Amino acid sequence: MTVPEDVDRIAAASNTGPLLSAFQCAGVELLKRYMVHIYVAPAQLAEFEKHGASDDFQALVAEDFVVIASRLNEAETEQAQILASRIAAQPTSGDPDPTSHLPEAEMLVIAMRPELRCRIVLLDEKAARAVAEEIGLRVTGFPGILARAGLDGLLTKSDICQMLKLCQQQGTHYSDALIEHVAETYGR
Amino acid sequence: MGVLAHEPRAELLAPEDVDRDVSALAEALLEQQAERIARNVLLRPDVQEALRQLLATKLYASEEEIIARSLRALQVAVASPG
Repeated sequence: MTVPEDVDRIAAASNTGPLLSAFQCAGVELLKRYMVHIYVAPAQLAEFEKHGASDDFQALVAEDFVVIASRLNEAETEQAQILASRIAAQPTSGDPDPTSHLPEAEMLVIAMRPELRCRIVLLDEKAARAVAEEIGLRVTGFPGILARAGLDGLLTKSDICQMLKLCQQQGTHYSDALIEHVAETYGR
Repeated sequence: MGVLAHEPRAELLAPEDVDRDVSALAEALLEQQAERIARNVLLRPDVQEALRQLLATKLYASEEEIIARSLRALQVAVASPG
């Protein structure tokens, strides 16, 4: 898929999960259809490496589509620590240790930097999404991007189903009910 | 080696979350489009002059009102036969 020149694309900040999903199902071009830049936090770099996505990630950085935001200042670091605790305390977090949630908390702080003009945050985990919404950020997940692509006529029901199943087969927790819903509701 | 899943212990999305996500993304894209249109239109000197003149008549409260009413008038004109 080539990216049309005349469409409006937005700046976003992304947690690690949605980008990993895009790598898992070769869906990066869809992100490029809707986003002009995707900002990530420096703390996320280790996560891409840990999940075997370092090469894919670095390729997107090299073409300036993914931008590694500058390090957090002292006030931002403090803010990220508070957000990490709030994410950890969510009943859906699955990990009560705030340290584990620092990367996504840092990403949320970066998304709030006014100069980046991020219009949305890409986030699949429910706990972090709840906190993002509490602080007034607009959120979508990777399945939401596929759904929009379906509405725009770019993906069929079968395409959506195949892409999300590919992620599921590689361990991403997209349920069968979710996959069926997205494919049937939004696929061309 | 393939790409491993992120945070396998965390609870991920429910079907109804995706419906909200689609609305959120639509809103973000619309906001971007609105900003582009507003910038391109309002930076035109002829548009700026027209707005200045119409505001000076004191018939309209704001630039937004002028633009909205102008569009409505154009719509009616185009739809009217003959």
